Amino acid sequence: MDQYYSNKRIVLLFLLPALVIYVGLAVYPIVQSIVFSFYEWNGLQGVPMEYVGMNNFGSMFRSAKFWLSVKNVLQFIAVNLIFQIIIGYGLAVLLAQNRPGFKIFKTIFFFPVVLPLTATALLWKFIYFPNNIGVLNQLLNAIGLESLKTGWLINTKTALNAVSIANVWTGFGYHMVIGFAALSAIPDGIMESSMIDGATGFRQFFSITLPMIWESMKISFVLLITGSMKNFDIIFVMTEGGPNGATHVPSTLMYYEAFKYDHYGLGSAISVFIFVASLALAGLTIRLMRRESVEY
Amino acid sequence: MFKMRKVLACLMMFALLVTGVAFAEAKTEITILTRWSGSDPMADYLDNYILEFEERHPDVKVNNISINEEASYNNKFKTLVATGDIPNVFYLPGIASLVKYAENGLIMDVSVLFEDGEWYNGFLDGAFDMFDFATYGVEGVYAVPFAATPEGVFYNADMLKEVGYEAFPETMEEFYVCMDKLLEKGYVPFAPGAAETWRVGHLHNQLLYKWCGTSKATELGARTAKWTDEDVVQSLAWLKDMNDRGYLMENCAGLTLDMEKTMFFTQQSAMTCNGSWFIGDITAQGELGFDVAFAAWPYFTEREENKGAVVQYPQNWCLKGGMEGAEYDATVAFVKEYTGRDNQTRVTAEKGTLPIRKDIDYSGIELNDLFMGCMDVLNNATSQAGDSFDYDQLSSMQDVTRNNIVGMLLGNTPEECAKAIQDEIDTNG
Repeated sequence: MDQYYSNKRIVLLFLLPALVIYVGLAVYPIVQSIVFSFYEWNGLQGVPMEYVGMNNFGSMFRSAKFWLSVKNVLQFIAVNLIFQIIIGYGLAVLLAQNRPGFKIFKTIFFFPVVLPLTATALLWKFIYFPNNIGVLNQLLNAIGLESLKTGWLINTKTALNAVSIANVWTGFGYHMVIGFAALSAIPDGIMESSMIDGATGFRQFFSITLPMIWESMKISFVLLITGSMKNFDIIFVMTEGGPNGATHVPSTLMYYEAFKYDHYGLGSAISVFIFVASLALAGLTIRLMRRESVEY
Repeated sequence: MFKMRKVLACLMMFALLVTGVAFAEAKTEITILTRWSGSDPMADYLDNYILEFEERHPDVKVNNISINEEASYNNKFKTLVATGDIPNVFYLPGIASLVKYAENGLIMDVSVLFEDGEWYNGFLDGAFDMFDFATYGVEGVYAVPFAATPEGVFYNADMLKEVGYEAFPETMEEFYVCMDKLLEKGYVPFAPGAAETWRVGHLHNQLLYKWCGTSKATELGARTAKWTDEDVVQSLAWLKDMNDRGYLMENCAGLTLDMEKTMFFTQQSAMTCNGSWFIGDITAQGELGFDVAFAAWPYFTEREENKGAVVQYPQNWCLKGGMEGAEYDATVAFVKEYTGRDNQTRVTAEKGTLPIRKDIDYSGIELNDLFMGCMDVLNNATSQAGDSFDYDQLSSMQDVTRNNIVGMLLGNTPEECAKAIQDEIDTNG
């Protein structure tokens, strides 16, 4: 085996197929987007691209629509981080107690994750329909809370949070599984020793359990931040960025600028922003969550 | 060695034979991209038309890549254009938005087809005028219209009778009184499915042209008028006023087009502002249990000069630019035969759509009242225009105008709505 490892040519040969696919389908489009962001093009084949330097970035940063989309995506990230982590890991802790009948709940809670996101978005859209058409408004009617009824997806005050809640529903099961796997990996001996030392309940959770699953939580945080940052489908299906642009996030704005308004350069500039912001937020998260690894 | 040569010679002969046959059987392929697919009422008609066209032209193969859903259609079209794989025949809504395609030679100047007098002279007068881009600085005519689509009000005649109207109100003043009476009876006058923003965009088109005249659309596109002009703001204010009075269903911004149709067909709303294409939807319902009639949108008494201003949306096919030989012949034949007298007569008879030609043979066609109503509106039109943004070369105007109109229904003032639209123009074009 060592003989193979020492032969760099063979190592490179085995790596080549995966490398070609990765470069072709991931690296090349990223580089191309960066290049496009310095040009203006109207989307017509044969029409040359015009080099405009940093103009697209200038237009992007001067646009009120863009800053609204940034504010929206930060709100979307915050809601998803808080609720998906709390619900996902909370359920994982409960399910890890392995009480009779708990197994079925693992499947039930994970079920929304395997549903196609478009179908889930449409399902929630039906729930949020206005007047007495939507299930939520019908429910509020039935329990005497008519005053809370609204057009959930057309009210600018509720639309983004309504979409965020739908997204939390689709994703918390995933983090529950990550959390559950991390909890299952904690040796029983450590938990028993901590109990002998007098650590139970919250003390045990914060001093033993949490440090032990910290690395998994870090993964969840990074996945949630980068996933929310590039989220497109659920917002596009439920609100299309509306009403009147109130729920646009950078990814939906990028789609509209490039593919509807033929501003391919500006669209590319927004995609570069998403890329850089995702990297920065992920890096920041990893840095903030860095702590000495726990070994047992 | 000799045997080997014999085998090789046989193989070569066989190969020549096969390629010869292949060449002999090679068909000219043309691609068409329309919105007529899936559940669209015209989808089956198009499929049959293609089959019959291929029978008449055995050397032509038609690839139908039509998509009904708007966003998917736009994505597909833009991808095809960006990669240079433009369909031979395609539908592209708008007028001014076609100019950049014409400027870059991507669509064909169809005025060369006008030499065929039998085909050309049968079109309604002025049918090609919208697509003459001389006003945009591009010589030529760049699309072939395939249907006439006037828009007005389809209404539940039984409901209107119940509140005392045998005929549809002609003026806006009467219309307001009529809608008040409908509300008193507990009927919702309109339930536009404004989640699909074009539904309220179309309502505004009616009010804009009845208040300002159809020329306002071209003036806005040519930048000789502004959205913040007093008369344009007033046209927005009329729509806002209709919404505030409850003539539009509460929270209509969250209703879909399907909901709008269901509400009309189940008598939960009294009217729907729609084009002649809606006749197909009504026919598809079968027995409705109430009478539906069609009328022109009422006019403002103080703007009687705009009484005949009619909204008519362009229904047109563009042909790919730079075609030659068999591809050109097949594409032109496809479009000319579809828009020719025989097929237009047939599509009128089978689908109840309004023909774009004046030489239709109506004998043997059972024309219903809705069809005649649409024809009346068209015949009484003194001027026509499509969507207000059809005349604007800024691609974003379709979304920006409609989104801001929805925003106005959700609380913004007409002035804020007009300013937001004008800001888009001032920033981008």
